[in-house]
Amino acid sequence: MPLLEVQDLRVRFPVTGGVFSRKIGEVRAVDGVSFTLDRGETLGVVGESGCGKSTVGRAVINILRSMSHGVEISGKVLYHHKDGVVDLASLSRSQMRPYRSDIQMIFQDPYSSLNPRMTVSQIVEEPLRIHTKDSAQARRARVAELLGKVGLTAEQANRYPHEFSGGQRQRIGIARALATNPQIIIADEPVSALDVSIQAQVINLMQDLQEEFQLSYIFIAHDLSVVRHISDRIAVMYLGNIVEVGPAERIYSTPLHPYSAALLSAVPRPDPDAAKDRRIHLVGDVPSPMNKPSGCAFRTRCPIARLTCADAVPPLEEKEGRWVACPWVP
Amino acid sequence: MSKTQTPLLQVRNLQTHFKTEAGWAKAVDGVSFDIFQGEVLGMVGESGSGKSVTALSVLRLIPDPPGRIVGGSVIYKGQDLLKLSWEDIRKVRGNEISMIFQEPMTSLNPVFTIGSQIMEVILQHNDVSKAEAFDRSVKMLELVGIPAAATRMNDYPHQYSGGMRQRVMIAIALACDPSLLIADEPTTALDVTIQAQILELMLKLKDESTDAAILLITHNLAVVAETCHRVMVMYGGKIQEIAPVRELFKNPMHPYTKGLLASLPTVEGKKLDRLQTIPGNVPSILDLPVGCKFVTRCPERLEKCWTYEPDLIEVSPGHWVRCVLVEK
Repeated sequence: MPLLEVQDLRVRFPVTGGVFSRKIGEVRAVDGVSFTLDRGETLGVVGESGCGKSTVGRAVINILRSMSHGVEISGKVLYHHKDGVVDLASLSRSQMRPYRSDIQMIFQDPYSSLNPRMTVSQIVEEPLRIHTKDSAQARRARVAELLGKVGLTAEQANRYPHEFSGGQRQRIGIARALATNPQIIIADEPVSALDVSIQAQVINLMQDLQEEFQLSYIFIAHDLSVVRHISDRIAVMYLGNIVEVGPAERIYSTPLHPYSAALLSAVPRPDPDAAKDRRIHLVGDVPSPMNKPSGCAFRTRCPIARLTCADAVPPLEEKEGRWVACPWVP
Repeated sequence: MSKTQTPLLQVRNLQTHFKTEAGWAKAVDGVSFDIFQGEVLGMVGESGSGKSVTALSVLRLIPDPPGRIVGGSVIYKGQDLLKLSWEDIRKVRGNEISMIFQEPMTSLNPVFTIGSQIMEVILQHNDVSKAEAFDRSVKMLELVGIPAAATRMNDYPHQYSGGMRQRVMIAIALACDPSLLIADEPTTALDVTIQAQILELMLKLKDESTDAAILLITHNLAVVAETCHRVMVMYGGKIQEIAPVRELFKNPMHPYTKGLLASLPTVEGKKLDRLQTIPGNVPSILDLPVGCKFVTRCPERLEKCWTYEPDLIEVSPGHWVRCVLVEK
């Protein structure tokens, strides 16, 4: 049984305008997304800006209602915990609290996601104070243990975030996420703000911790080479829909959906002799999610689009060991 | 590109320092390089390596205070840009040498139309009427692939997408047909499909002009591999290695370059179980080692590296390395 099952998730943000902030439209940020996540697995979610990948992560952890007024969420986020099943999407803030310790988040920006007025030990200890009844002494011991796990020293515990580099701050964020022994960690662009030489350190650390604690990751990123390295399966998103999902190696070696193929072909290769004619050119820009094209949202830029693509959103169908939302690929 | 011709731009022993509460930070500490006509020269390095400061110093765009170009020369077409009067350097900027920045969102003025911002640079550097400047601006927008260019001249920056704004920046940068384009992380803020479009556009426009050259600053080694003829690798305010692009990727000599190339995950080929890493953190430019700048993280360091910093040594034609391991 999967640990997490997302079924037909839809998220709409209202667009307001005018003096009275009347609703004048809506952004369908996530438009019918379904996937599963197994224990110990990493699901990579890739796509370009505005495709809804971050919103999916935030919907799973159920923080959208606190972040954005008037957001409409439908669909199910089923979390299979040790005592049964719960639909996280239906829970209120207070109902959600017992599950928060099981699902934690690592953020993109290691600068703004740590409170500058708290010491490192206070930052890592905070989830323990909220979610556990541990004594102060037990909490201190746990903080020291966590800092050791992420490669920071005990002397660094009493320093403030500004005294650390970007990579070290991301380690602090990881220690905080680990504090409550979570099952699932949602990592939203965890290495994209880091220098190349530091990225590899943080990715290796995340893999080591996954092995040690049997963590499941939802790894959201736009860097396709990083995602390939860490993911078992990937989901490719375009304008609020998953267009292809399946084992990472399969999709990377033979992408079937025309968008996955174009996206992968555009990634620059660190090889001066790489063939440049591999590139599939997409015309134009991603349409605004406020005016999403009817039917298949990719049809306005798709090299193999046909007239009927405008009629209905193509469903995900199983082809060559992965699921693809395009009826025209073999 | 032939080595016998005189370089378009010659940077010699450039030193740019910044005053901080903790003392002078040597952001650029003796950088020398040439750019030849028709060449794309890449400059890679991590945050704080001095790559952006080098580029800004060439056009004397360093805010003073706190920054100051304390030494060196930048020879462009026989004159030292660092010695020009304020008025003369303005005639160079945007006209002879232009620059594209990372953030297309913040480099355009939100309260002026796209058209007026392209016309501004044309009117500044050329003796033309407004009508002529308008026509040339429309042509530039068409050149960079903006559809319905004439009507979109009247749009404001917020009506353009990120990729289109970067195209506008390129249109502005190329409006006066410069000989050198300095592009500082031009595609870092863009999505990967748009990145490919913008890089191809820059190269295509360069090829259409006979003598133009590009200095491309980036942290992305894959972008360098696909666009540049030569590459220099910066670390701690100094050039650590400089080589033709194939040579650098096939035969990296500096331990830092080797570490960077080994730590890259890829989208094709064999998937590794673990990424190789460079240990430690990028040092602060206020706290650089006395000897080799990379010594604190170098897996191949020798005892003397802590106190002794080698010069750049030519190991094969055009391939220069700053490391004791290549010293005879």
